[in-house]
Amino acid sequence: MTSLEDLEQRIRERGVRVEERIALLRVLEQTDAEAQLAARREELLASVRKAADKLKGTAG
Amino acid sequence: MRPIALKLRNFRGWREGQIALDRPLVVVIGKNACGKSSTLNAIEWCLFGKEIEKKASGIAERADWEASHRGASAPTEVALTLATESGNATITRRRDAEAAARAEDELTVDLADGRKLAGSEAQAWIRESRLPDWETWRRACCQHQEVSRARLTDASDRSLILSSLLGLDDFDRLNGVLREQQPRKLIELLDSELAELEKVVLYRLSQPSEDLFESERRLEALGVERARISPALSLEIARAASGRAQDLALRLRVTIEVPSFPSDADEAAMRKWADAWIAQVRKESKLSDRLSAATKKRARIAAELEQLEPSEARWRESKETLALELRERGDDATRKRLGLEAAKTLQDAEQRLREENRTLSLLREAAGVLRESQRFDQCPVCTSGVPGLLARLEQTLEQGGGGKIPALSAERDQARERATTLEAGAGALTRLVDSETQSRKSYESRRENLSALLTPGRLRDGLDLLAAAREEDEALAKEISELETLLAGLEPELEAHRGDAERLRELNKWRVAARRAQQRADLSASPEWKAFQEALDAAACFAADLDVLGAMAREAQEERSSSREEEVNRSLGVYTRLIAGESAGLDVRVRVKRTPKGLSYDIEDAGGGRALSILNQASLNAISLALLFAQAEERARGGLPTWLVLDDPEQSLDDEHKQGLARAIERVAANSAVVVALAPGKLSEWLIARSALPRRTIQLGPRDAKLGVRIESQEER
Repeated sequence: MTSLEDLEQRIRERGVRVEERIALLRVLEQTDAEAQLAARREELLASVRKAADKLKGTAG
Repeated sequence: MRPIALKLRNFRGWREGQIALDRPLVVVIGKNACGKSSTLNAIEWCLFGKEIEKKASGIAERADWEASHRGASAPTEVALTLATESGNATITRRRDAEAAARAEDELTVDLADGRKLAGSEAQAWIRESRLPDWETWRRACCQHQEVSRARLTDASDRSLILSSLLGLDDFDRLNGVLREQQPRKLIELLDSELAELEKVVLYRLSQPSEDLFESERRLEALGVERARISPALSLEIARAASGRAQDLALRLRVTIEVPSFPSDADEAAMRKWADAWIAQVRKESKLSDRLSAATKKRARIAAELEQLEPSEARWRESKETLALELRERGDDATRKRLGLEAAKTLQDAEQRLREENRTLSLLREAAGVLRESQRFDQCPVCTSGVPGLLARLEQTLEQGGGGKIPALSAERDQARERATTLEAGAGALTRLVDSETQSRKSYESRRENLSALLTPGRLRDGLDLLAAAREEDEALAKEISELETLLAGLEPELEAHRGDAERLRELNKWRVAARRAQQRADLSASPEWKAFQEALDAAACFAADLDVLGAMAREAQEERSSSREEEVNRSLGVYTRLIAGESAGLDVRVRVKRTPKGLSYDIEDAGGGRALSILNQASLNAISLALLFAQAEERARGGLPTWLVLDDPEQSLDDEHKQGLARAIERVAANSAVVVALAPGKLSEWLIARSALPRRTIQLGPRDAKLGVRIESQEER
């Protein structure tokens, strides 16, 4: 069993956010996984900051 | 998956050739520079292309490495045929002779079902087939001519090799990637974003509730029951204030437009009117000014009245005095006539006195002349003789000085006194006239002042000034009393209005606070709030997933390392003993250490000491090869495609070690395809003569200048 298969099995056994975590696992298989994850991380952070700014504007 | 065949064209020493790899063990034998290494390199170039052609590949001799045959104008091409579960597949890598250094190779895969994959699809097929990537290959599948010691003495490389041997390299890579993302840091960043938002937004959101509460408390203090507070209350208060304002305007007899407020549509207009009303009333009614003016006027009338009677008395007195004077001393003409007469009398008296004195003086002079001349009877002027002249002169002088002169002087003095008295009487009369005139004017001026203070029409016919003034005073007293009453009544009215205005202002604040509080309630259900929550959840889930995956990877890695450590060490021990011999006592083990950052690996001797630093070259080679074989065995056990490519593995080994190596190769080839390139010698002899495995022996002859690498003979068994 490969490492990724092992992790996939563990994810399925735990049954929490299975699809999302397996999708992340698929990214980890890619050779440019670091770049992909870093881009996703920045994208999510940017969307949080943008939504927060919008909310601050609405509340203000 | 096993290799079947290798086709080469214009690859390094090769012009064109084909080698069958269809046996578990393929031995390529040739003397130096026959093309053994080129043959093995071709397999790697076909699989990994440029990865193996640079210094960063980890293989020192590959720096500035040229894949193409020197002088060839045709493309370089290597095709590796593999046996797969679905039939044979051929991976072909091709590069044009004039291709630029950065140009991509042409990579294709021909599948058994006739499909031909190219480029990224071909790469994907290689990945999906679980063929080793370059890093795995470098550590676990090949033994090159570089010194083995370097692979073991470099701690980083050694750790990678041991990780690969334990089958934990994937976990290490995963952990590295996941650690790189710093999921905890991401969570911290999200926490700080949330904290910032809480500081800014939630504070702002909570503020309206506090404002609302505070506003309600102030309204209660202003006499508004909490239960009555509502937007409609503004209209109620404004209407009540408007009604009172209209009554007040009537009472004050001022004309001010008071709005009626039919609805609460314009709440701002209500507040504006209420705020402006007090000043407007004060301005329009002028109660204070009117009171002040009436009070001042009354005071001035009183003052004038107070002064008028004395003034009149003074005038009458001076008038009477003048009349009396005139009666007693005549009028002005009489006085002038008497004065002239007295002056004339005085003048005459003085004249007579002067004449008498001159006469006496002449007589004295004549008497003097007579006495000097001693001619007492001769006239000093005409020389006529007058007897007793001197005596008569002296008598006359004596009589004049002793009687007439004093009488004339007395007469003159009497005339002077009368003249003086008359003159003084004339001055007194003038003064009395002036005094009478002045007091009369003063009296008249006061009357005029008083008249001017009276309301026009007050001094009507038949009413004297004093009566009119008293009537005016009474009217003013009445007006002052009324104004004072109005003023006293106005302040409570204005105070009540001021309270209404304040309540209206506070109600407006309450409405704003209530609206903001409502907005807060609305905001929780707003798209912005939802979008923020979703974004936050997505980022937090991403971070949590990364963190969980990292934890799972570490957990799986530790579990696997626990189960694999003994197994791997057993394999390593077997191969080490096979190569180095039982008698060498070379007992090394892989040791896994758990650190806060993850697992670390090293090689220790049986006593737990550092083994590699004291070993000789042969022992290092033996351990390096044992590690390689153990990895191959482990990969094969894990069901992964496994080959071993060994390029001159017998370096530094004596015959005993070579014999052991032959046994080790035979053992590993039972589970993993092995391609080994050797110079003719003991190892090749033992492999060919003693191995019971199916094998192929390829003998390379001396390289031909035109044809390149040349296969001299092939043998299969």
